[in-house]
Amino acid sequence: MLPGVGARLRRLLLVVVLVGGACGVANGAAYDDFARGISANLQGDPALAVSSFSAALAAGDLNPTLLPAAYRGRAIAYLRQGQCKNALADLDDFLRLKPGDLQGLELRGRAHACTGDMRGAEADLSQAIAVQSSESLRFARGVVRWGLRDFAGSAADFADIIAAQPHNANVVLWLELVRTRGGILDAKIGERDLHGIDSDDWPAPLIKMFLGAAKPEDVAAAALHGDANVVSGRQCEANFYIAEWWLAQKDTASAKPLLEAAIKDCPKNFIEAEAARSELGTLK
Amino acid sequence: MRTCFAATIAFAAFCGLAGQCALADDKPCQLVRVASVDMSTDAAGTPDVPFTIDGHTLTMLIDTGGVDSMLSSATVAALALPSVRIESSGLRMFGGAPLDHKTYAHNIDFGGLKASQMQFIIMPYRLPEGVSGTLSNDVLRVYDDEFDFANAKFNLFLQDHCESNLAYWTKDDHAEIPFKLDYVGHIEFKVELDGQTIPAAFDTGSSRSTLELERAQDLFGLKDDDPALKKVASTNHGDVYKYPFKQLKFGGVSVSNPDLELYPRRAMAMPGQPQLILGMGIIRQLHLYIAYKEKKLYVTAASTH
Repeated sequence: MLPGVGARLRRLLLVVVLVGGACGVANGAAYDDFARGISANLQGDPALAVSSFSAALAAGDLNPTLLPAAYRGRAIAYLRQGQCKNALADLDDFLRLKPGDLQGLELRGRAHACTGDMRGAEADLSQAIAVQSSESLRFARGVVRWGLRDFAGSAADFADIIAAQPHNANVVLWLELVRTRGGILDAKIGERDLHGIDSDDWPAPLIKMFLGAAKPEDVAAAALHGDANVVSGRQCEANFYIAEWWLAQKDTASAKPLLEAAIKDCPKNFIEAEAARSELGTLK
Repeated sequence: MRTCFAATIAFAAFCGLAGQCALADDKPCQLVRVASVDMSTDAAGTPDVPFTIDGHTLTMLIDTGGVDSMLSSATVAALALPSVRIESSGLRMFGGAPLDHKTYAHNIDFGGLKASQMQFIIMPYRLPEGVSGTLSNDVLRVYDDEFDFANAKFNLFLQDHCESNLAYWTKDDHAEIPFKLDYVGHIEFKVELDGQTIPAAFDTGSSRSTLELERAQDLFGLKDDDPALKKVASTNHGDVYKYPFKQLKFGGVSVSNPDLELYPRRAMAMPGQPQLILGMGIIRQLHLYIAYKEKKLYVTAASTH
């Protein structure tokens, strides 16, 4: 029984349980748990999603058509909880049932990256891109290749996205970051990319920093402009990207405290939180 | 154009299932199922079905909240389908984005229903991951539609029948909800939210249920500084809120603490201008039969047998 459905449907469900038991048909409870898991994921409650999908899968009589969605749903919830190995196991089950599924490969790529297995992540994302490329897959692989220190490969992925989406400032930011880290930055091309986003608003100051047109202290100051919600997100981003700039200058000592601050203060759903954790892991 | 397309599909159905059609002629009262396909759920919680274009099996979202069936621009590109500009279509997505290109696909197969050609609007934005397009009212309204979520089946029936009780899957209690079709073909009926009656649209293409913010403010006297009004997201047209409504009722179905997101009117802009969209958060808890000719929904809990 799903929470929220009132007396009339509760009465109908009671009848269902009795009839179902007599007939030996009992997939109702499993479906109700499954439906609760879907809703919990959409409402941002991963703990309830995990328990609901687990109950649906344990019941053993969830309709086979819904099994892949149950594994995928639980994997998404595990990823949100940072339970990377559990997510990976569920995505293995999902891909066993739906081999080659693009979303499954993308999610398993994320799960591999979450466990620190960047090679596994790159393999899954590359397999998905080979079937059907998309901006989200290219972006995910670009970040994974950054994690692998394959800055040229990473830049190629981000540049592909920019070719189709020149206004996408976040991708331009990552592109200039990996070019700077890889020592392959061409200031003229970077200026053209910056011109493409056609804005001086955030995150333009970060991009200018990588292009040598702004100093880290200018960026830190720019991050403080705006209302409280905006500022906390920008400070998180400033900490991570300035740390990356210091790493490009071979100054690990200046980068470390900024990465630690990003890990501590970044909202969990910000890509910079996981990226800072990954980067700090490589410095230890 | 939509009428021609619908006729094409209907004609294809009759041609493709001649035996069943003959049965329908002999026994006009019998409920005749013309297609039954597996129905899964994508990560956004919306229902998906398999659909074949020229030998390529795609995953399509069943969207009762749409107008015409659509294919994503990525799918159109992947299948090398033509893109044809529509002059003055007037069609818009949820949120108001214009839909101004269409395409034609060939050799269609949907659960055994076949058509030589089908028109799709090209959707400019991304669908849930893995979804290639939507099947909407141009197809759905040609038949009666059954959503059997617990058994993961989407069934289509001929509308030519005389059963008075179309909740054929149960002999137990069920609800019958009269509806009307708005000018773009959306299923619309009255719901009662915390004692206030509101016209609602039934939308399987919507993950969550949504209510127009301005209407909620008018009906319930909600002020911007009401501490119970919580901002949950932002759109280009304003902020999205949640409010702890207590009960949503329609046709004998009662939902406590309904999960409703309050969107600004401009952000909800879509054909038909529904004030409340009943989305999958609620719909997936039900087993539904949509009888278009009778203009009634037959409803039980999803798990009812």
